[in-house]
Order: sequence, then structure tokens, then C-alpha cells
Amino acid sequence: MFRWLKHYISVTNCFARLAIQRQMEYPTFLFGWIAGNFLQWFGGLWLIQTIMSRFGDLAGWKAEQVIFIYSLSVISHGLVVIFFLQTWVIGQMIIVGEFDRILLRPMDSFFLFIVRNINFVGITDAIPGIIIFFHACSLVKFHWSFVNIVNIGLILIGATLIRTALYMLVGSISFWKINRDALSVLMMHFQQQATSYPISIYPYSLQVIFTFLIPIGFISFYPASQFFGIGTILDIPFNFSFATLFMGVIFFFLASYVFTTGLKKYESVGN
Amino acid sequence: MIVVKNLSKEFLVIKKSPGFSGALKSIFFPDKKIVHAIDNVSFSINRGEIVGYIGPNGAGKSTTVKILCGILHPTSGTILINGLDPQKKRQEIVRNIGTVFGQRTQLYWDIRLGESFELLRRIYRIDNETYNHNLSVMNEMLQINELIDIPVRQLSLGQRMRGDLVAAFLHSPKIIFLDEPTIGLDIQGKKSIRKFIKNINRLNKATIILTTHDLDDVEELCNRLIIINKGRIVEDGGLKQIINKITPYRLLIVDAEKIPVNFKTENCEIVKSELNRIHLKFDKNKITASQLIAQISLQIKIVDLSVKESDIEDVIENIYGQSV
Ligand SMILES: Nc1ncnc2c1ncn2[C@@H]1O[C@H](COP(=O)(O)OP(=O)(O)OP(=O)(O)O)[C@@H](O)[C@H]1O
Ligand SMILES: [Mg+2]
Repeated sequence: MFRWLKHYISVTNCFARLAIQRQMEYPTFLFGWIAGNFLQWFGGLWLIQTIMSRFGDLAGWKAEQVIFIYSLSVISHGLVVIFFLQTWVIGQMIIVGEFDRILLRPMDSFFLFIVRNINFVGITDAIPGIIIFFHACSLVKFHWSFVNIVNIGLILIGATLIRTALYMLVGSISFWKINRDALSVLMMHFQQQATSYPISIYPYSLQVIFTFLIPIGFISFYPASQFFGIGTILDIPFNFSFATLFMGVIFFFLASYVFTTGLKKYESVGN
Repeated sequence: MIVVKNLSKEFLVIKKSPGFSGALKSIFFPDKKIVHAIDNVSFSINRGEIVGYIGPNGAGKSTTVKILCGILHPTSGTILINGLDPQKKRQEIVRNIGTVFGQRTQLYWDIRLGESFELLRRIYRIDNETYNHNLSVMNEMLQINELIDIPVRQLSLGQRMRGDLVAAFLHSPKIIFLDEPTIGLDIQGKKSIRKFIKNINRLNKATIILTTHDLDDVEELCNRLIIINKGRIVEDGGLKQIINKITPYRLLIVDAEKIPVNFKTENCEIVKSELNRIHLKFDKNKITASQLIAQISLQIKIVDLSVKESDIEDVIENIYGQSV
């Protein structure tokens, strides 16, 4: 068991090192991404402030609280880009035969799929997110207790897993139908739209869907509602940071199961 | 060592009709077609053999290789590699397999070649001693050290192929699948790669299955050939044996002072007749060259002559020719 773990960790480290080196080969790209992403995320912040200054509040949420939601959304998006970007391009990977390469190695194929790319460019998403988060924290007078810091950590992990799981579920369609990566782009826009604002602005039925079926409510909305003590359709007696983590883990496992089933299908059919 | 029995692989492909109406039609009434990429194939290969697996485009060579290394699952049939089923024990099988797909590199495009090797070292858990030993042995044959610090995308095709070969052999695999390893290389490149394959086979007692369209590869490397066409094995045997069976002919080329217009001989076929040269094809099981020469010299005055054996090229021409 220990040897097994050591083996997998050593391979993960090596992939990470290769990923850094690979991205160092094209430093100019990085500047493009910094410029583009900073513009996009701070632009989004500006948009929220403008809208909110006109309407006062949104379904009972004040401007700074919406900004808090938005920042959780941006950070978790950044984490997905860093660690799981490959879940957006499964169709492409099939076409270029990447899974042949993965299947030729004597290791778990889901593991190799997950660690094969660490995309450090994603920090250009995460950093604006973190800046906006601190900005929101000072606006809402966030209480920096140890428990709250741990909660934020759990929420971000859970949120990243939920997002990744959704990308994997959509991406795995490409195992059955030829390249459907366009759906991943759609998924990205959807996640970004739906997690930047309180989901309580949507009709009840949509809120239910965003809670249980496509659980994006847990990415930013429910955790924030708990911090601010704002009532939602989901009144559960326990900590929402655990709920987010719980949903993340459940959906990640579900998605990895679908992915693995898809890969089996790939093995039996070819690309 | 490798035992394949009644292996078949079918692909379901959807035929696309041209044009917009065709595209619409294929959405609502998809025209599904089954392609029998491999059709009831059986063979077994012993340890240390170099087997040429050859056939025309689309014959099913790459598909067979993919099934044997566990990437694809067969539609029916059984495979045992060292007694194990690659479908069920993929990870175990793949540990002892090395592959080169000439059409597609397995190296990491944007980083120096050495890093790809390092990654493989960790994936296969190759201990330092074996790793360094293998690298230095292969460096002697393929001069890999001079390439090791160059990003793969900057390597020429031949250099990249050397990299791919080294990558495939780092973990001392017992079975190696080479799918067109000499594709697109110049003569020098081909030669060094052939030499390498030969040496590795001798040193490691590795079993090598080679698919190629280059018949010089086959002649130089393979002691055995499996010829596949349209998913079926058409020949399986030694190189000489197959030549003898499919094309038991020799060509006798005779230069003479003058070839009479009504020249005729028995037991052979006139392939080409020029003013003072004539090409005769004869079945070497029916008549010997000297008998034929004696027979001809009665009619014409021979100035010079040469005998050409039929080779693998003629065999392939013969077999592929039947398929069209
Ligand atoms: N994933 C796939 N889906 C559908 N059909 C496929 C697939 N892969 C291969 N085929 C079909 O199976 C047949 C055999 O293909 P294969 O790639 O094994 O040929 P090959 O002998 O390697 O040819 P080549 O010399 O051109 O490399 C072809 O008719 C091909 O169109
Ligand atoms: Mg092929």
C-alpha cells in the first residue's frame, strides 16, 4: 500500500514538473492570459456593482454579499482550470488518441487522466478571485476565525469537485457520441452565470434542480447564505461547508464512474 | 507466449452521405455499416521471434496490435499473452510491453526528450541501475544522448523516431509492438533502426511484432511473416517458404545477338521481348535454369544472361493484386 502510494505520488510530481516546464516554454502566453483574465473577472465585479447600485438588493442579498458569492465562484473556477482543465477536452483527447497512450501504461487510467495536466495558467483566474474575495470579506466584515477559515477551505475543495464532476459528466458524452466538446464550453458559461449570483433569483423548480440535480447551488450560494444567515429553500441543520464537500465527493465519484464506463466503451469500440 | 484464437473485431461505422440533405438523412436514418476489421484471426508467436505483420492499408494491422496490447477489446476470440488475458489484466500485461506507433509519437511534444524518459522511469518504476544500463546500451546504437536535451517538437522525424524507440525499450519489455517504425525515414535512418531492432532482439530475447510497408524491413529483420488482407490471415510462415509457395518463379534475362521474331520455348513464359534481350519467367519446380539455358541456346546465340529470384515484393504484389 505504501509502495503503491509512493509510486502514484512520484508520478504525480513528475507530471507537475513537466507541466511547469511545458508552460515555461511559452512565457508570452502567460501575459496574454493575465491581461485577459484580470479584465474578465474585475469586469464582472464592476458589472455586479453597477447592477446592484441600481437595484439596491437582489432577492434579499446586498451588493457585498453578492460579491462574496461571485468571488467563491471565481476562485473555484480558477482551481478547476489549474487542476482539471483536461475534463473540458475529452472529445479532443479521444480524437488525437490520447487515451491509447493512457491505456498503454501500467497504472490506473482515471488517475493518469486526472494528473496528466496541471495548468498553472489557471492562477491567472484564481488570483483575481482571491483579490475579489478579500475585498468582499472586508465589505461584509467577514469573521476570520479558525473555524471559518477551515470552512472556506472545505467549500473551495467541494466546489472545485462539483464543477469538475459536471465537466466530466458532460465530457464523457464524447465517449458515446463523436466529439461533443462544444458542450463543455456551454457548461463553462452556464456554471459561470449560475454561480455568480444567488440562485434564489430563479423560480423554485430551477432552484431545486440547481440543488439536487446539477448541484451548482453548493458552489457559492448555499455556503454564502450560511455565512450571512439568509434563508434558502434548503434548510438543513448542519454546516454547509460539509454539505458542499459532501456533494463534491459524491458527484466526483459519480462522474468518475461515468468516465470509466465511457473509457470501457472506448476500449470496445475504438474512436 | 502470444496465443491468438479466432480473433474478430467489428467496427460499427455510420456512412455519411454527401451534402446537406445527406447530413440530415444520416441524423435521422443513420446508414450503419459493420466493418470487419479483423476476421477470425489465429496465430501464436514464441518468445524471441521477430514477426513481420504485413498487409495493405486497412488490412487490420494496427487494430490487431491495439487489441494485443489491451487498448481495444475484441468482438470475439481469445488472446493469451504469457498466459494472461490483456482485457482483464491490462495493467499487468502492459508492464512488459513496449510499443512504437510510427504515425504518432508517445513523447511529450513541448519538453526536452529526457523528461519524457524520466516520466516513463517513474511510471514503470524502473530502478536506476536498469535505467542507466538501458540508456547507455541504447545510446551506443542510436546516439540518443545528443538528443536528450532538445524539446521533442524540434526533433526531425528520424530523431524523434529514435526517441520513441528508446522510450519503448526503457523498461526492458519482453514483447514489443512496432507499428511502422521506419515510416518516413531516410535510408540511413532505416538502417540504424533495423540494426537496433536486431540487436535488441538478440540482447533481451525480446519478442518483436513489426508492421511495416517497407519490404526491406521485412527481408532484413523477420524470420517469420504473417500476411493479412481484409482482416484475414492469408499466409503465415517463413520468408523463403512463403516466397516459394506464392511465387515459385525465377526470371531469366537473356541478352542475345538477335532474338528471332517467332522465338518460342517450352516450360516458360515470355514476359518481355526486346530486340536483343528477352525476359523469361519459369517455375523453378518444373525446370532448372541450366536446362532452360541449354534449351534456349539451341535457338539463339546467348551473349549474356542473369537469373533473378522472386522476392517478397513479388509475393505482396501477387497477394494484394488478388484483392482488387
Ligand atoms: N475506430 C475505428 N472505427 C471504425 N473503423 C475503424 C476504426 N479503426 C479502424 N477501423 C477500420 O478497420 C480497418 C482496419 O484498420 P487498421 O487501422 O487496423 O488498418 P491497418 O492495417 O493498420 O492499415 P494501414 O496500413 O493503413 O495502417 C479499416 O477498414 C479501418 O477503416
Ligand atoms: Mg496501421
